[in-house]
Amino acid sequence: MSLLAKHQIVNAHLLATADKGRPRSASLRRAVSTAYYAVFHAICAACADRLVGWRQPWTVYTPIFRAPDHYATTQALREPFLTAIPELQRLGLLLKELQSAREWADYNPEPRPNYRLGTNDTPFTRQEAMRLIDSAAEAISIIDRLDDDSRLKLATRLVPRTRKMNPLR
Amino acid sequence: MSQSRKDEQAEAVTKSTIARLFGANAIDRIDVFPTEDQAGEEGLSVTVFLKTDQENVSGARLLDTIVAVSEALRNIDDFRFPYVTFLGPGYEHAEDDARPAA
Repeated sequence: MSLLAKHQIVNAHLLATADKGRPRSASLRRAVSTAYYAVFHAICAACADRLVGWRQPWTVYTPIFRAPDHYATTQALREPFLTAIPELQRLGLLLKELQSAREWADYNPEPRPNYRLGTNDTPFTRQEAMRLIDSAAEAISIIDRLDDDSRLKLATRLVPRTRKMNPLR
Repeated sequence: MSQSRKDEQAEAVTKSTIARLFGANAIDRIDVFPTEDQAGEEGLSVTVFLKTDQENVSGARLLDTIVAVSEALRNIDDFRFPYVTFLGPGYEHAEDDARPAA
């Protein structure tokens, strides 16, 4: 796990456990968002490391690191080209769950993800936030264990701004 | 097949899959209902109400649950993503946001 990703997970834990008694919604939301970004940054780093290399100058590393798009990444991780690799299929499922939670955390005023109007849905909980942080750490460990070929396939699918590709190729 | 029939099948498959993973004794009830993600894509919201807080549902276990439910849904040609939430009786809820009166 990169130091940046590791520290983002640590920060997410700190945020989720910061409040004594009932947690503040703001703390749990920032924790979930931070955990999601730890995973997304780990994916970006895996792509840039594989295609460019960490030792290259920022001028060539950063554009590749910045290339993956959030929504396009979850979509690509559902295509057969990548889901044929079981680790990438699992990563895609985790990322989708985390991305949905992060969308709620950053943008949605309702008390929990997938809030149902007209019901007695309870507010988001500390334990749910901790579980999402744990799943983010799991996602990063999947990325860390990817072999060279899997990293190359992931990077070549996420980085180029191509016209619509045939997912079966 | 009608949408309501499809939802009924998805609910039944989801519940039986999770009960098999955790054991019926660990679960109080499971709520399953259709939802939409931020991009407007159809999904399923799955909330598992645990009987006690003893059951440690780790991130890896959450992933195993999503994998199992996704596969079970695909087997009935339902490709909706299951957003899975676990809730226990002792979970610490966030403070409510005060909303202005309507």
